[in-house]
Amino acid sequence: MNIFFSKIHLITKGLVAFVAAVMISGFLVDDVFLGYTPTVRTDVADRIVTRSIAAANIDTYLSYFQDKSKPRPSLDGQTLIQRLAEIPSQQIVPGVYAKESDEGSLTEIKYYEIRWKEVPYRRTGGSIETIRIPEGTEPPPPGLF
Amino acid sequence: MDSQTDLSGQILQQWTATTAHFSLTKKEIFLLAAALVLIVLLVGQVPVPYFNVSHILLLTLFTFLGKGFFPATKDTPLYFALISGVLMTLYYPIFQVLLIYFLLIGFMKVLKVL
Repeated sequence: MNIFFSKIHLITKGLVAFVAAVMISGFLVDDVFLGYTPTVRTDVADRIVTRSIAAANIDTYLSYFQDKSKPRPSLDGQTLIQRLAEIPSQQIVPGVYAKESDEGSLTEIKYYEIRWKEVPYRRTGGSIETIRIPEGTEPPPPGLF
Repeated sequence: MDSQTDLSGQILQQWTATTAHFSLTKKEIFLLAAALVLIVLLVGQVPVPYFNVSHILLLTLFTFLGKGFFPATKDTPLYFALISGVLMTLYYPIFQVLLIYFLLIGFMKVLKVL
């Protein structure tokens, strides 16, 4: 009987180790490392703080029990466009503009105004390709596509 | 002639003493055979359905290292880690699988499963 319980105890500890390893690896891949590569994120501290604040906030857990089938009160499209038209656009990079209000947000992309630059990019398979990205923006993390 | 015989006898004795504790269990021989088969598959570029041979070979090599570094390793949990790692390659990228594998071995060592 003792052997039986010691085996159960060992299997339980093994399963706990497995579940903990999978959960922690998920956290590391999402918040510490970049795009399934060993590169550490530059904003790792910010992300951990944000996650910790969200984990300590009771509203995060209450939102799981809210009725999601109930539509949120929102403005109709025409009114929203009129409201947004009154708000000045802000340039993110040349050719990309954005504006937002409490009810919604709008991003405008003027393709021909964008100044492109070509950068080398390492794909998931390891091949290097040249891609075009708007000037002033960072290329996507290597190995993401 | 006698002194030469003595010297070679001493060397043989020393070699026997240092290698006497080295032996391979049945499971280790199977693991070694599996690693050799994987190397043959990799060199011959034989596709294995659903699995990436180089990823499985990498996990097998890490299991060998684990066996070497932890002298009192119990076999079954270590092979459980290897098999679960191999299965994980079906669902997760290899970087995450390696993280799971190392974390699993670390936790099992801490919890005294290994």
